Amino acid sequence: MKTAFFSFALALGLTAIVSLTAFAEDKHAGHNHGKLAIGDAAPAFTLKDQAGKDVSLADFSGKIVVLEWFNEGCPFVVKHYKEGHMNAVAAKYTDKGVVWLRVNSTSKSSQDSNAKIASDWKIAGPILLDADGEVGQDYGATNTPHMYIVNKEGKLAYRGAIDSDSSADTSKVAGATNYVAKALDELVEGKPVSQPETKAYGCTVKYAKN
Amino acid sequence: MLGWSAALILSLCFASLSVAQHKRVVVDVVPSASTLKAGDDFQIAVRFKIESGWHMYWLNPGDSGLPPTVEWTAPEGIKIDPKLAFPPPKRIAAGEELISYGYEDELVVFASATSDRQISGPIRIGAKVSWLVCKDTCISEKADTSTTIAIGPKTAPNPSFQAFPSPATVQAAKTEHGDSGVELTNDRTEGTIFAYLGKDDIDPARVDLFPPSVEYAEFGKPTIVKNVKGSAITIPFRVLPGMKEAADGDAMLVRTDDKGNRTGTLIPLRFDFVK
Repeated sequence: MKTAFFSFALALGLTAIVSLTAFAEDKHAGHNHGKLAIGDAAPAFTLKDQAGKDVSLADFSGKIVVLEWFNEGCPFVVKHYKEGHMNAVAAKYTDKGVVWLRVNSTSKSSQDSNAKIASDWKIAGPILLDADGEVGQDYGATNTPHMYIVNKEGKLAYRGAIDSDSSADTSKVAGATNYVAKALDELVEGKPVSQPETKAYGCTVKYAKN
Repeated sequence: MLGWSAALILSLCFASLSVAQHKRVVVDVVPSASTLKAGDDFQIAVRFKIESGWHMYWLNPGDSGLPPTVEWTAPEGIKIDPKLAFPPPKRIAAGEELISYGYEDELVVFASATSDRQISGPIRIGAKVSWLVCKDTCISEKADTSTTIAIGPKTAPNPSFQAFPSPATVQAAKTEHGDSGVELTNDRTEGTIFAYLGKDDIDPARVDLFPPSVEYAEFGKPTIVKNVKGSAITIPFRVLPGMKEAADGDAMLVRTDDKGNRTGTLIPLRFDFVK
């Protein structure tokens, strides 16, 4: 982004004179989270599901894989599970051969807590334990829910929000555009994803503090 | 044994009751007038008292979060603008590389209202308020609250309201300080929002710029720059693909005076990403 900024500085006839120490605590530019870009190879991983079984991205070679960053304590995640919306979307596409994996990078999560919430919320697929946050960091996941789609070639095809309504209000799910469903429809039909990046919303991923 | 079980059940009931009632934020509604003359305009503040260590969010919450919302009910003859005015937010660390834009301790938002000459009093204004409050975890909370205003021959200011700091003022895109606006690269994939601050050098500790809540743009860090026109604060952004139409949004320029008082100025911006 620095390059872009300086190109703009030039366009505006500006010269950067101050490196803002006041903003030293600021995040890196939003798009610097992770180095992953659309079209990049999706980082490999092996994580344990709620039953203790190893699940690797490589297990699903040749399939479309959805990665959903998950934390049952986040109201925005609850929004999509409270009335079964997320499970319904996941079921619809798993029926079409798509693999749907929840990844829990919450530092306080455990195999047991994932098993409990899978049972409580009737989640059919795996919830993968990433309590040390390494996979989350590899993908640059910042929010829950934060959605990624890996295409059949193992490349990142979508990254961003689950839908167009950034509230925590379950009643608004039905009226929102589901970006992931839209992207999956396109991928299943062999089309390119028309909207490969959207702005994720929700809680921050509660990574382990270093 | 039965006694212990009963005691346990009772204590659990009370425990869950107290948890259900415990809120991290206490809300009240404060009108600008204690007595209103029919036909006069007035304002209504919603005050959120936030538990220590927790925070709430600005209209653009930053990397995570959600701003509060208020749904008003008022008798016929009273019109309340649904758009809320927010005070200058702060940068709140939300993780190693993540920043939220929000408020700690207290947040007061304002709505403008008008009254018809025919109204008679007293009038009751209701507010259904919902908000997200976060610390290590985030909690959705809501409250139904209301206020009553007497109608009289003369509008009398409400001292409780007068004690509130004022929210951001609205500034046109071109001001006496110079231009502010949005610039895009030729290929429309990246851009910068900028606001000129005057001829003088700027102390970076005294100025901040918060990007608007605009879908399809990912904003970076503010930087202060200088050219022949003067000093400016800028924020780079990247356009997310798929934008179908232009979008409007308000950035907020925040300046801090010698005494540490922070003043916000809204800068209306138009983002036109259509390729």
